[in-house]
Amino acid sequence: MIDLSSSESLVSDEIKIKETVGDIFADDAKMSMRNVNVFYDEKQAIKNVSLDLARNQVTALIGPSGCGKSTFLRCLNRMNDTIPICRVEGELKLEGDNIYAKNLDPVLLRARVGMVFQKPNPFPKSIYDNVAYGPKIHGLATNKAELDEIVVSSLQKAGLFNEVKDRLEAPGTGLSGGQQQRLCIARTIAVSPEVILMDEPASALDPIATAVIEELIDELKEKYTIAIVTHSMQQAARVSQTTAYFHMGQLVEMGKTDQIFTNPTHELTENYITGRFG
Amino acid sequence: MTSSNNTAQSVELTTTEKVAFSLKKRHRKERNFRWAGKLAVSFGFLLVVILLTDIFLKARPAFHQNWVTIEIDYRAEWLGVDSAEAVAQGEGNYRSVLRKSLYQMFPEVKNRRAKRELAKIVSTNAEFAIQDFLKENPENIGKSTQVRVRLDDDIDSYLKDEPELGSIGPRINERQAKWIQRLVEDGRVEKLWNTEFFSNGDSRDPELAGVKGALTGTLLTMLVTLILSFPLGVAAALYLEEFAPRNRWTDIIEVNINNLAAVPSIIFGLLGLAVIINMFGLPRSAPLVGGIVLTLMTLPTIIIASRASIKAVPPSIREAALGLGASKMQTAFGHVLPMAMPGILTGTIIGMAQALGETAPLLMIGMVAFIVDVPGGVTDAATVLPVQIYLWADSPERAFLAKTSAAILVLLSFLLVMNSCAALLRKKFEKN
Amino acid sequence: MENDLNLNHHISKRFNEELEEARSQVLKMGGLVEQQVREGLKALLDADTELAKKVVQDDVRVNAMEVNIDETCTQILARRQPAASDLRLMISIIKTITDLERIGDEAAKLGKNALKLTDDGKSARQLVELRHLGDHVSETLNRALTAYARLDVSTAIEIIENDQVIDEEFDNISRLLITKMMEDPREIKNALRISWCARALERIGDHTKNICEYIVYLVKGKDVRHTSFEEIKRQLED
Repeated sequence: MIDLSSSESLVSDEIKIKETVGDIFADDAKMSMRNVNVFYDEKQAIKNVSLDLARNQVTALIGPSGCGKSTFLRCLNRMNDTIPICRVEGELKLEGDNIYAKNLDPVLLRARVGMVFQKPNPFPKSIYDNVAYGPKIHGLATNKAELDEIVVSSLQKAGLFNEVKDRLEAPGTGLSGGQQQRLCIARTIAVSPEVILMDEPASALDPIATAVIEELIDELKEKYTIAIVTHSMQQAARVSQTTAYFHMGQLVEMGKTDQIFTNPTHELTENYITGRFG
Repeated sequence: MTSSNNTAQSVELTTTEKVAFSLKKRHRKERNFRWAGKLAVSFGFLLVVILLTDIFLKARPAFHQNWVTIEIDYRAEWLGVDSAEAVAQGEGNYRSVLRKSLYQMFPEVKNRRAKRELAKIVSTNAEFAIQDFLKENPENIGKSTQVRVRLDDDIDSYLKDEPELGSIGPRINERQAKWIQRLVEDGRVEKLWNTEFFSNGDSRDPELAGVKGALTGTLLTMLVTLILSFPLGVAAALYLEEFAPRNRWTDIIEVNINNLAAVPSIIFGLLGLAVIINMFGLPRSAPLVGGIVLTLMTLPTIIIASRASIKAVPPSIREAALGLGASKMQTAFGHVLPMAMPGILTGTIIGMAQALGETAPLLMIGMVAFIVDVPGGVTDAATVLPVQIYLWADSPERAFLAKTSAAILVLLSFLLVMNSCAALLRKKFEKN
Repeated sequence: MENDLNLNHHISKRFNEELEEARSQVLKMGGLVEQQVREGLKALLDADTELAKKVVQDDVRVNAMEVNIDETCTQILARRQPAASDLRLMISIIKTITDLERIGDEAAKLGKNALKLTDDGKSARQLVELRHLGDHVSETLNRALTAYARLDVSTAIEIIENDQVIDEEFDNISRLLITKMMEDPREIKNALRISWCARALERIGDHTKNICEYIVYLVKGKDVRHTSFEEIKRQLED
């Protein structure tokens, strides 16, 4: 086994990243990030990354372990705020609003930018309560009927309703892995966010459940802007329109997925997606 | 691999053989460990069984009381009053009535010393018993009637040993033995279920002493402890784990909490005496003060257990809630706390069990005292079960030996009930 | 040499071997096809019946190799899901062997026509232009295969550019043959046969050009088919 924990051992340091190659700009950007730097104490995790998330498109962030793609994703709804030693610099905008502005409440931001995590993490509550939780705390429904409607439509959008309609009161943790992840997606879209961030949403699932999630992501992009971090290059190739390749905290290359997977420009990207060690 | 091994088989063992060889040793070790474990468990179990059986056997006499029915002659000249009103007001010389009635039953008793011994056959409480009887049945004034009174504790203990009737026993001389024999043969002695053990407060007389006072005291003290320590402990743990920044101050607090858990409990008693009683002027011997002192002692246990339990809640749950836009407060109280609750309850019950058995800190605040009255509130003077056990164990009367064991059983039952409540609550939380 | 393609150094050594295997099979097939073309041409120009027969027979070997390589590529695609340069390599191999097989067919055609001509007691020996065209085509094929082995884009582009020359030479031969046929109608049959041979050589040139386009695609990731030469140059420059 090759020790994958240190990506440095796989990729020679000789190839230097001067600046991002490819097209980081989107014609119609939902979110745009410029010169983002992230530090954990003194260690810099993200180095000068700029990119746009195109509206109603799926943008895939790929790269080896520890390349900072997850860290970057978590900056987009300020989930990194929970880590005291984490410091974010740069300009991050959602529809022109600076998301790290002093007067912007992260709670409000997270209602607009939802997140789906690597491990399905339903609350230890009923399926109904899982989906209803977000609308409840944000006061999106004024009465029970409205709440019911939100729950049902969210479950439908997540493609889970038919499987669970008879047991909405059953615990969410009793579902299968794939169903749990779709429940988490339903829970996220129940808050009607504008952007959905997905941190390796299918990495814990079998191929069939993965295919269902991927199909769902494809449908969801009609309504939402999606950014997905994935370890599976095939998955990135299947679901995304734009792909960004991260390497050691830097954005190496960004471009149309079609191009990245047939003819990447940067050698590091090429090495990564073909499974070479430079 | 196999081919190369086959050729070298004559000189070297194959991997399979090597493993098989070491396997024997490993299996033997495992077997030995299992046996040692089984032995340790059965030894512990045996000790518990011996202890419990011993306590049970010793406690058994305490749950029964021997009574004697004597012919009481409520004549007016002995009583000194003759009207129902006077009786109702508590007037009358019942001691004289009791004694003279006894002398009447045993007319052969003549000398003073024998008479004094005869009077001691019944409990000191008998004169009040016959007074109460008359109060309820005032039509008996001037008449002679049968009244059931307690036997004295020495005679009670003597009878519970089931001796050959008429033989002398501990603190029972020949004369007394003969009287008892007559009473028993006349069918005047009955062994009854001792309900007073659960309904009486403490007494110098073992046949009258009960645990109700100590039990109520314990209940009140524990209630105060629980009400104070549980919310405080959980809130402190939640704050430290979920909200507090990690810096030197929180480190110092953490170290201090851990140290506090190791402080000898009597120090807390001194603190209670100095601060709570002397500075704030709260009453001595009160369950309120006892509860506060025990809270100080229990808090570190609850905080440490709660923190561990909160730390064990998977971070993915916090992320899920935060990711949906829940505030920190909503996340902590809506998700983390319910999931940590089983562990917190376990910690609480450990702390409470510790507090339940504590006597040292209560020593300093005056809860180790002879208190006869059952406390009615948290500011009344009270004692607690372990103190009661200690006091009884220290008493010279033989009958207190049984009472001590019985009180231990009550204490254990109390603990059992407390633990069951916690277990039920835990089940409820774990189900979600 | 300009070569920014690195087909080795996969984390999976087995994958390296598989890709290497597929590539060497293609080169072997290329060698065989090149030999077929050379021998077909020789049989035609020297009226060598034996050689002509051999060329016709050996076409089976070319076909078998194509099937073989196809199978290898299918396996790699199914098991490895290659991406980027590996994917381009696979695509280019699959495409290249199709063209190589066609070239093989054209070489066999040369052999057949050589047999027919000698049967009639004729030969194409006196046609210098045909010899010239044949030499040119077989040399181009040789250069193309070398470029393929070396992933040499500049040579490939040169060959694509030079395809016009082959077309012009073919036009010359056609004109020559038409003149011949008009002069002597009895020669029409043989002239047509020679015309077919010339046509076959011209087709070989076209297939060679295709192979060179795949080389450009493989190395540069640019699809240069059906684009003018100036356009190709412009694309590769940026």
